[in-house]
Amino acid sequence: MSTERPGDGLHTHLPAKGPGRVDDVDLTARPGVPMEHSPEPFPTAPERVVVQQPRVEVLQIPGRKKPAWVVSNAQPPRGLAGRLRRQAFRIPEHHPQHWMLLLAADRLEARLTRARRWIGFAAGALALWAVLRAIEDR
Amino acid sequence: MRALAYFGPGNVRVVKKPDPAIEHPQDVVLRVTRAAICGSDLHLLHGLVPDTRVGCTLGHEFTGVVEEVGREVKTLKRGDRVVVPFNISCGRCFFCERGLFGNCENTNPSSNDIASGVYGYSHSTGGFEGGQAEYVRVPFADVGPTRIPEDMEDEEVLFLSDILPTGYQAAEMGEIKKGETVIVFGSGPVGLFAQLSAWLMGAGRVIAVDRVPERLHFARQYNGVEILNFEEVDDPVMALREMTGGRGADVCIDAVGMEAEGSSLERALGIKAKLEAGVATALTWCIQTARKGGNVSIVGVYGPPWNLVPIGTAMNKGLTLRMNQCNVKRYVPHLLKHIREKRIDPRRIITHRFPLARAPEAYQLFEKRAQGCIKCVLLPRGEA
Repeated sequence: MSTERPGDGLHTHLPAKGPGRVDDVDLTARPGVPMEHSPEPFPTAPERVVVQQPRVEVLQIPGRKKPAWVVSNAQPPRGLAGRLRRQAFRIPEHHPQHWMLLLAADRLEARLTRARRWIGFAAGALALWAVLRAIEDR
Repeated sequence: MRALAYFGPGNVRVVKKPDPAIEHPQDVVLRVTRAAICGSDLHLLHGLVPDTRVGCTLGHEFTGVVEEVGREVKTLKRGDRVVVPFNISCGRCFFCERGLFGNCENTNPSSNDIASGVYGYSHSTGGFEGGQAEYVRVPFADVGPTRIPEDMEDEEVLFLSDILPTGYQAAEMGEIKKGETVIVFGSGPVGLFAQLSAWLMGAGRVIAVDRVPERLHFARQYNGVEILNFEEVDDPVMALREMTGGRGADVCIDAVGMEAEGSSLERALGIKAKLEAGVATALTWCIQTARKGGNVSIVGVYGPPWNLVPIGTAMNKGLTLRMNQCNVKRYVPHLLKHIREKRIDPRRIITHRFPLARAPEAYQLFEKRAQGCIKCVLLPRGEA
């Protein structure tokens, strides 16, 4: 069995003994204890709620009672994959179909993007070939 | 600007994109100075996180300099250097007010069950563009970012964005008491910081479990822990029980998540057939190697909708299972103090630096754990 215990001569940035190793022994002094503390606003939290208006279509999970205060305008749903994603967002997320549809949309989008790239290359090559033929024919 | 974008499983490229702009009065835009590749970025790379859209910019661990400031931002000004938590939090919702910044309900319209908004981590966490880019938009700038002290370098504090607080929270959720035995599954960056945090919390023994010899060697050097290479034993659970006097460990930490090795059956079900959300082998081993009445702490990332986990064993052993996305903001002042007082030296885990233009190469290296790679850092505007 491949097990090793730390021996002499190990180089670690923790001191062998003393406060460095046991600085956070007191459970109650640890910064995340208790994980959920009594409610208090974060000291520098914004005083005013401003809800960002999206510039693109943002899919929202069913059952959400209010809009998110900030959203991303990046990569809105589009094309066939976008249609699948819209379908997925009609299904609540506790149903596996929601996630399966999203995964299917991801794969479809990746394949279509790759296909478009190849079609672009092929069209470019074909155009170049046609130009060269035309020059030769002259 | 240039950014590292996703184009499908196994396919990331550096592309040109429009510069980000202020989209909300409480935003800032940062010029990124350092961005790291996280182990959880590999889940995106491998196509395991649903709603990862083609063209999205990855990266949720970064530092930067404030370039543009929204009109309602009060605590930051142009030129400030900041480190940014991976979670995007409003600071005033039900969850933020209770310290659960990773569960903020105002930053992710796409899910109630996953997490708050997260930079560069699919539309399942809001679709926000990530920091593996030259510039990034940072919402709620008065809540998330922390100004970097003038006498500290970006790389000293870069990992306060995620992996250091995540490792610390992993140990904290284990409720480690003085002298206890802690097993940490995974010796990647989060595992390393969980091991170190276990020592800080007074653990008597810390055992690191992984399959990559270089990572185990590094763990031993960096943290002075005992190590077990699970590929070198017939039965890792039996081996760990033997190491812990047959009773098991007081605390077990899962710092691996959904792409664990160790069970070909689970990998076939979860990775190949996608019949479960990745592989929960590390979590299974946590449950099997914790002592009765012990604690299991989970910070490894798992996706929806489900995983095969021996919950009956956990129940019968009376285990306490604790888990969450890291509430980064709560840990930053405390861990900054540890770094300043030299109890933690996060920079030592950086094994590779790449310019942003070579980010796909960095992903490959990190994915293969080649050349002793522990942590890759990207320099968006500089040379490595």
